Parts: sequence; structure tokens; C-alpha cells
Amino acid sequence: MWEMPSRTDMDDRDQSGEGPSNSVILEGRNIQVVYHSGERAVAAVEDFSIRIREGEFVGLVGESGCGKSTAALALLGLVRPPGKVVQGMVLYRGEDLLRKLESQLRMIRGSDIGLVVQNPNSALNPLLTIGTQIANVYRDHHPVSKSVALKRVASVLKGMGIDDVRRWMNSYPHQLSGGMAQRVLIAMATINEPKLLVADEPTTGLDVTVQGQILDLIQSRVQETGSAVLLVTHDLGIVAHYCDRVVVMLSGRIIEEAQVQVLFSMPRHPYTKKLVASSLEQARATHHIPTAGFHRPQPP
Amino acid sequence: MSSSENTSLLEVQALVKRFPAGRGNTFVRAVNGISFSVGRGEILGIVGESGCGKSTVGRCLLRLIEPTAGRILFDRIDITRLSWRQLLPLRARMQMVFQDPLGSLNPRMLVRDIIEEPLRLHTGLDGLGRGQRAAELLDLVLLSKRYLHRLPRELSGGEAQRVGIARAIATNPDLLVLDEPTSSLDFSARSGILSLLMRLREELGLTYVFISHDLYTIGAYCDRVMVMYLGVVAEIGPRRSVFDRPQHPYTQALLSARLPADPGIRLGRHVLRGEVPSSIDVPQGCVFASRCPLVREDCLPEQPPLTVVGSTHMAACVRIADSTNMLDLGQAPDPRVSSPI
Amino acid sequence: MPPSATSVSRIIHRAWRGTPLGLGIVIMCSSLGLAVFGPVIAPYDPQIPVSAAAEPPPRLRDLAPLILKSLQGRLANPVHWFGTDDSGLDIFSRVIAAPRVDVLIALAATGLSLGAGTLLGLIAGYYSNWMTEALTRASDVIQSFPLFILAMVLVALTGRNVGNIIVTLAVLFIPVYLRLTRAQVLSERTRNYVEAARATGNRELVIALRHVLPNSLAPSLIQAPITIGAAILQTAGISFVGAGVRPPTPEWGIMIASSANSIILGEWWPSVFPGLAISLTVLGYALVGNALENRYG
Repeated sequence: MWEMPSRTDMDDRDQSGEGPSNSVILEGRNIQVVYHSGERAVAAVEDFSIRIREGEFVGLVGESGCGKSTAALALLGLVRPPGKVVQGMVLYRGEDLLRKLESQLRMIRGSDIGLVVQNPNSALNPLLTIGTQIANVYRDHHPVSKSVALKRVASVLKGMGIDDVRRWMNSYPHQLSGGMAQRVLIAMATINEPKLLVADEPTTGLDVTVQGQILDLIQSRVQETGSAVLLVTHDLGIVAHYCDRVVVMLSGRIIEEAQVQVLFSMPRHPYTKKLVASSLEQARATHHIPTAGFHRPQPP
Repeated sequence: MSSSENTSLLEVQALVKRFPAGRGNTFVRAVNGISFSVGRGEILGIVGESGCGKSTVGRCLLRLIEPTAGRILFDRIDITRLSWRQLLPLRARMQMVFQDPLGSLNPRMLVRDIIEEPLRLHTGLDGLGRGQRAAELLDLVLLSKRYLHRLPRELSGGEAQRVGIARAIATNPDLLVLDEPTSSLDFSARSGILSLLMRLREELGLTYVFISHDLYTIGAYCDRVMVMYLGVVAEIGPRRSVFDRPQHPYTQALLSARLPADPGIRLGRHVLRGEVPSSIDVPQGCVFASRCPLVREDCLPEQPPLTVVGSTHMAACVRIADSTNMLDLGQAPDPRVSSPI
Repeated sequence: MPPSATSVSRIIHRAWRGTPLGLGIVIMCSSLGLAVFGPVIAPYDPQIPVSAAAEPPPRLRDLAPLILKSLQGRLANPVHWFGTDDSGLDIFSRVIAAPRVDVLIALAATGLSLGAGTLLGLIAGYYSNWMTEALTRASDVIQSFPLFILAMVLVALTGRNVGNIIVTLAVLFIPVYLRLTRAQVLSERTRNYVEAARATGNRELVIALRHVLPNSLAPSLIQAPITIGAAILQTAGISFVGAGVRPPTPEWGIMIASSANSIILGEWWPSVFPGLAISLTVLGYALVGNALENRYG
């Protein structure tokens, strides 16, 4: 059993030591999200504060049920009943997103902030072709004709390494495999070159060999567009190799925050210590990288 | 096939399983001619990605799915075509632990009844005897007696899996097939279940067939490993050999795709292009040909046979013969995609 | 000290959510109570005329004193609360005696169709072969016919007695339960616990009856109250058109039928009160069914 986080750790949990040179693009302060079920109210997220700087790759890590997805959605103003943000603010360009109207938020989402959800089915319209759907995202924020938008979609898809672009653009969501659907979501989320890309468990459920493709794709896309990334995941392996900075959550609260190297070498919170220790042990015990050329098959 | 035929508890010969795919004459070729054996007391890990057929193999072993062709020998008894009646006594000797812990328990049955069901069918114990045995079993899986009177919905994932394990070992089986036993569990519950399984194996002298997609778990616990791809065996051998010196390009790519939770380890990866093709219309020739970076002419028209590379280590690749089967790892990531839709 | 806003709103919230179910239960229990005791507590015999011509119900302003007097036992004859119809029958007595026919038919028909439908649904869902496919299609065909017409025709063919009406309605409602159970069975049979039962060594029949069936009944049980309401409506309906229960049996449908013409003459009470009774009863069962669905569906 994990112990509950002690409050004393919380105050000086921030070891992030970020350089002051990069400006903060999104800041969440003291966010609290409550879920009402029947008559009870459960706090899914409490006292959640985060700062994301330009170009940063931040990992939001925790087990299932710790509130990381809810926290990420709260940053985009996407918490829906029975959940409710009861406290806190989300500062973007000096304004509190949580005080804005839904219509204003929609202008920001999709152009300034992109979202990749875990389950492509919930984000894709089964009745429209992929090309149309991605083009629509582009046209929501740029006043161009459909054909111009489609050309842009085609060039983005090509840039993502897709060979048969025309066929892809004319397919429907149900014809796509998991990995392909995720690529579509990434295209949709980044076509307007957002400042921030939020990805909620984008590789959960995908085959191991496809996970690498998707993560590499996210990495290359955001390098192209200069976006920062908030990646929500439960996989420390992903965090270790893609993130600059890590935020660890437990039971709705942030319990630790640090640069990746620091988190893995000097974890402070008891929970993080256990987590890191067992992951490291597992990784070191079983990870061998065969070096090309040095191994010959044993003679029978 | 195997050098340990005398001590093998389980032997599978040329197992094939096809499912009708709805329209006309198309089939889902889930398992395409697999042979392997499992020694007494051994843990064989079966690893692979979606569509490789590992779950189907697991279920065929217990005749939960009827094989289309091939033979399954349990303790040298051919169980492939036994009738229900003939199979019944053998069922007490081979059991399964399932992937969905809560889904593997009847929601309307008390834990006590769930564990006692196999006892009712296979032992002559009376009510009192069964109750005692059930309590013993809960003890073995480290749950208190209070759990006997609970319903599955009152259990956590980890607790439900312990009940599932208790049920599986109730009749003192020889073989347990574990189908992704920890994939649905939280990180904290996972290690508890795995250490329980390893302890039980020692204490009760069990043999395991451990099916998983998680390379770390397989790498940490299994004696031998079998890598499957699209219904065939790509590689099989002792864990050390397969993990340290993988011979099949797919195994190499699979192992290299792991992301170890240690930023200090430098990745030497080969990120494969495309995705696993559909199991309907499996193409002629090597099943891996469509994605293999080392594909060449003699990879078609037939699925390569298993080539011996060690005393019990085999891999199905034509390039092993001239030692050109090693992938170049550590290349720059190439997110190019070219899979057909 | 004024109660805080949250506790007041919580009370209102609870009342708002609980009222429909409460009302439904009250109506349901009343209908069942009347089915048993109705004819016994009726002030007049429902089938014997007691007045020469149709008499209207008491006027609203006379109601209160009349209620008082009847409670004190100072009335010579019981009041015709709902008036009398053209044949001189006391409507109130007939309205409260009718549930014995309407509600009992509905309960019996629902019970039969639930039992048969769930068993057939189990078979259709658990075994997938040409026979079960044919069964499912046949059930779909029955369900696609207008229930009312079919009920009328079948009763006309088999004879207008209560037993035939029950059987006819039962047959016509079977497809509902067959479909609900089959759908649930289809989803349950692939679950791990069914595989586990198989791995343990149970026979298929045992697995179907002992593991799958109990876990597939919930949607059918939730549907039952709604079927009861529908059956009441159907019974009243076919009796209204003269294809159901025979007069002078007290039954809401024929009561409306026999007095439909006299509405023109201004005699609204012989048809309106039975009509209200049907509406209220069916509503009550629907509310219960709805609440069950919200809670367990």
C-alpha cells in the first residue's frame, strides 16, 4: 500500500529549476475539480498548479485514477458535468481561461492549444472522411476555401511521413487502425501550429512497435511547430526518453515535480521513490541492446 | 522438436486455428502452424503484439477454443479430440488465470462459491471439506477469510485476481495458463500478483504458460520465451538467449522498441514501419515480410521454417543461414508510414 | 436560523428525484390492492343496475359535506361518487372493480411472457445456429405487427374469454423479452467468467442456466412494469372495440365503449372516469419502470 502524501513535502516539491529565459505560456493555479455522484462530492483534483514554458516537453505522470487526465482537461476548460472546476484559474496570455465563454475557448482550442485524446473514436466523426475532418479544423481558424484547406492537410500529412496521402484523406475513421487514427488526431491537433499540445495517453492500447512511431511523430511535429507539450501518461519509460520535466500526481494532488534526470536520480517523495526504484530495477535488469555486428548465431 | 520430450508436460504440434470471417470463404488465421513444448516446472512466456494469436493459443491449450488442426499433448495424452467426459478429469490438472480479473468472476456469486465450484466438480469433498479448502486457498493467495462472503464488485482489481488465482489452483493443477494476468492491474497491484504467482509456482510445483505483451514482465520471470507474429512462431528459446541475442528481425525490433524507465540508458532502436497487418488474408511467404527492413527475394513464397541457432534456440528467418539477419539499431527515428489502410 | 442554501437545495433535489418513483409505487400498489379487494369494497354490485337513468356525479360544492356525512355514516344510500351510466350501473363501483380484470390479465400475461421470453432469449443468444436464427427472425416478425390488430384478431379467433386474452397478450409480448435477454446473453457469453466456468469443466447447459441467465435478466426485469402498463392498455383497447372481455364484466375498456355515444348527450362521467383510471394506472407502472431503468439500467 502506498502511503498518503504528506503535506510537508508539497511546499518545496518544485525542484524544476527551469531557466527563466523561456516564457510561460500556460499556467494553472490551485485548480480544484470536484465530481458529484448522487449526493456525494469527490475531489478528483486538488491544489493543482503547473507552469508550462515555451517549447517544453512536460510529462504528467501517475497511476490510473490519480486525476491526471482530469487535471489536463481542466487546463483546457473541458471539464464537463458531473465534474466541475470549483476553484483555481488557468492563465493564458494574461487571461483566465476558466472565466471565458465556451465560444471564446473554442477559438483558443484547436489553434493555440491542441488536444490529442486517448480514444480516437471519441474525437472522430464516423460520417466524414479524414481529409474533411482535418481540413475543418484548419478552416475553423483560417478563412480559406475547402480545396485550399485540403491542400494544406495533404502537405501536413506528407510531412508526417505518410506516403499514400490521397488514400488516407479519402478514408473514413472506421477504416483506420489504432496507430493510424492516432496519427490523424496528431495532425488535427497540430495543423494550426499551436503553442501547446496536450496529449492524453496517446499511446495507451497501441502495440509496442507502434508506440515508438507515434511518440517520435509527436516529437518531430512539435519541433517543427515549436509547440510545448503536456503529455499525460502512466508509463515512466515514455517520460524518461521524451520529457524534459515531470510532474507526478497521486490521489488528485501533485506530489513531486522535477527535471527528468533529477526525478530518476534523486526522487524525494516516498511514492515517487518506490515508483522510480522498481521501474529502474526492471529496466536495468532486462534491458540489453544487442549491438549490431557483434553477435553471431551459436553453432547448433 | 524439443530435446526435453521426456520431461515435457505439454507438447503442441502444428497447431492451427482459423475463424470464419463472416463473408464467404475468408478466414481469420489466428494460429498458423505452431509447435512448441513446455517442460515440467518451467515458465514459458509467449509474447507478441495484437493479432499474433497468443491468446488463441492459450485457449486452445485448455480446449476453450477447438483447434482446427494439429495436436496438443498434455502429459503425453493427446487431448485434442477428447470428448467432454474424457476431458473432465484432465481439466482439474490444467487451469487458466484471465486478463480481466473482475470480469473473470461471476458478478452474482460469492467468492466462496466461486472458489468452491471447481471443488464441487472435481473433488469428493462435502460442504464442510470444501469450505475448509476454500479458506486454505484464500490463505495461499494472501486474502483473509472475510473475503469468502464478498461479491466481486466489492473487490479491487488485485483482490479479484487473487480470487481468480485461488480458483485456478483449487484442484492442484499441474499447468496454469496465465493470459495477461497483470495487464489490467494498477502498477501497485501488479508486483504483488507477480510475486504471488512466482511463490506459488515454487511451493506447488506448477508449470506456467505466461502470455503477455509486456516484454519486461516476460524478461523478468520466464525461463523460455516464444515470440509470435501473425500466428506463427518467429523465435523461441531460453530467455537469456532470446533477449540478449535475438535472431529474428522482428524480435530485435520488438526488444528495441522498449522504453526503459531510465533516462541514462541510451536507446538503440529500430522503429518499424507500418503496423501488424490483418489476420485475414495473411500474405504468402514470411508473415513479417511486409514490414521487415531486411526483406529479400527468398523470404517469399513460403513461411521460413525455424532455423536452429542454439541448443534450444530457434528463429524463423532465411537470413540466419548467411548471418545477415541483424538489424541496424541506433538509427535515427523514421516516422515514415506506408501501411495500406 | 434559516436553513442553508445547500441543504434546502439538497432536500428539493431528493424530493424531485424521488417523487416520480414514490407516486408510481403508490399507484402500482393501489392497482394491486384494488385487483384483490376492489369488488369487495365496492359500495354497489358492479353488475346490478341501481338507478333508473344515468345520474351525474355530485357537484363539486356538495362534495365536502357529502364526504363528511358518509364518513359519519349518516347517509341512507352510498353516494354515486362517479355517477351512474345509461344502464343504471354505479360507475365508481365498476371503476374500482375493474382492476381485477385489467390488472390481473396484465400481470398474468407479463409473467408468462417474461418467463417464456427470457428462456427463449437465452437459447437464441447462447446457441448460434440456423434454428436460433430462425427463432429470432420469427420473433422480429411478430414484433413488427401492430400489436393491437394482432391481439384483436387472435382473440376473435380463439374466443373472448379471459384465458385467451392472457395467452394472446403473453405471446405478443414474448419478442420483447426474447430480444432483451438475447442481447444481454450475447454480451455475457464472451466474458471471462463464462470461459472460467468452461475451464472448470461445467457442461454448456449448466453454464447457460447457472452463470449466464442470472446475469442476463436485469433488462427484462426492468422492462416488466412497462409491459404491465402496456398490457392494461391493450386489454382495455381490445375490449373497447368489442373484441375482448364481454359486458357486463366491469372493465375499463368496455366501460368507455358502452358510454362513448352518450358523451354527445353531455353525459361525460361514464367514459371519463374509467379513462382517467387507465391513464393513471399505466402512468404509475411507467414511472416505476422508468425509475428502475434509471437506477439499474
